[in-house]
Amino acid sequence: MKKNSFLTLFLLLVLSAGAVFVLFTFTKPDHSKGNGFRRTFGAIRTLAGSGTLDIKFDSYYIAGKAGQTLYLGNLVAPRHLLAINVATLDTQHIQLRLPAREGVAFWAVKANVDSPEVYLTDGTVPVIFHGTLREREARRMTQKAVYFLDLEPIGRHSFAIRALNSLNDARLGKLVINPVRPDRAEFPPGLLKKQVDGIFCTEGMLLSDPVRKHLVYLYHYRNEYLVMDTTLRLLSTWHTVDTTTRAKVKIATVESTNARTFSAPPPVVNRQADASGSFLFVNSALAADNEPYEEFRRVSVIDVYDLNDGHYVRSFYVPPHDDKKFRHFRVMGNRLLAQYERSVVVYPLALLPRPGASQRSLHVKPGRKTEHL
Amino acid sequence: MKRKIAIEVISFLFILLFVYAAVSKVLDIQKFRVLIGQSPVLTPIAGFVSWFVPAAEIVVSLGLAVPRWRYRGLMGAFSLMVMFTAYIISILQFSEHIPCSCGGVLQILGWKEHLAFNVTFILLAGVAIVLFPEKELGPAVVNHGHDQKKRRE
Repeated sequence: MKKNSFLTLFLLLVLSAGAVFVLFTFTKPDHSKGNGFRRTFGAIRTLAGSGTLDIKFDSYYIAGKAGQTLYLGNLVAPRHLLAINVATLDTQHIQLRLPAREGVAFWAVKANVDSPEVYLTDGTVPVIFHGTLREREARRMTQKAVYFLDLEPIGRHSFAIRALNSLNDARLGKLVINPVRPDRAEFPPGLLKKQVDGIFCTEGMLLSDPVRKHLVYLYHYRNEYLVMDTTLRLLSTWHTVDTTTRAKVKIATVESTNARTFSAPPPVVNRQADASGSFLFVNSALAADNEPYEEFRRVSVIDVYDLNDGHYVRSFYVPPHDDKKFRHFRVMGNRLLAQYERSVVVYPLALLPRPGASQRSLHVKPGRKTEHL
Repeated sequence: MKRKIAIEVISFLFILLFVYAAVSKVLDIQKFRVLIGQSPVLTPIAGFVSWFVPAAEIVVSLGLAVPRWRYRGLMGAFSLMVMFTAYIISILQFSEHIPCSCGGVLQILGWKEHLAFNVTFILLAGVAIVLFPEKELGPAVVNHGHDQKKRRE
């Protein structure tokens, strides 16, 4: 018997890689059927960028927006902020100072710019540092009182938060920091609706526009968003265009650590969102029946909703940059800013409906005034 | 003689790797099954995969430990590493949802390192198979050779 090692290696390589390939082919979800809803597009389906800024690192996230300035925070350097003028693409590096000997063990620090206020927060400690863009010195403003999962500034010393109650169910509340009295958190009943487990099934995004007409909570795993005022009074509950009314998350408990986690990939409905003026911009994860899936998986779709009446206005695509979809986005006036792995791209939003434009007919009620986005 | 040492060192490295990997999975197999379920392609077969992978790692390690079965063990080690690597490449390439348990690894550097690590081990197994002296192939492989001959005829 003669040994032919190269033939053996080749056969093993083909068989093993082939087995994995077969596995991927068989478990690939069927995208040919669509998801049972349709999107409406304007004259321009895909936005075209007007400028690109190299931000050099992939550890940035969007920390806030104000006027013409977009603020990026950095996961690796929590005290560092990058301010980008979205009209000129000029940048400014901001380094926040923390008091010396502030012995706080951070786990997940996030910067939140609500110009001119800056907050460094970590809901797992929990702690909130407060400073201003002018002074750049952050001071601790909370006692160890209220743990939170998510936080959005809604006033000079008040925040909308998502936090767990004693039964481990997430709820929305308002946290008010008062220098003389203890921190106070109020949780109005009936905002987040538990469907499966109470933590994961209600996950979503807390959003507000700096102009702050509304506070919005958009669920990740169901087609629903809540519109509230800044006292967290529920104004309305609206639905996004798709058909997922119930979160399809599957949850398991890891017995050794008693930790709850997903037992199957969570079917995301709404990936990212931003509120601007009275409009909500949603980056959905679901393809509509009238979209070719090959195109859909390359781009990021944005659906626009009117927060006043929950109306679906229209959709458009944000193209990939360097073959990758954006990570985060914000809408600022008539621009959409998309943050990719290592760059920020500016997209003019001129294609959206203008007053009197012929595009307005499709999904706009007759006689209703269309705002310029 | 040098050949033999090289093969033994490579086999030992694989035994170390696979036994470590299998034990860390089996010690908390329930957790491993939950994590496997989070993979977009493994959800429906998570139960099977959660015992098959550590079992395969242990069987291959046993094969590598016994000289008579070492050649077969090397073929198994090579195949397993190719499968793991093909899985990583595919999931990074084709999947929308990437399980969060690889969160830290997924930063570009970590991903490259992981891939380089796997490729190194694939090459090591390949080298050991090429170097393997013919007269020590072991019984099972001789049969395998017979089958191939028959098919060619």
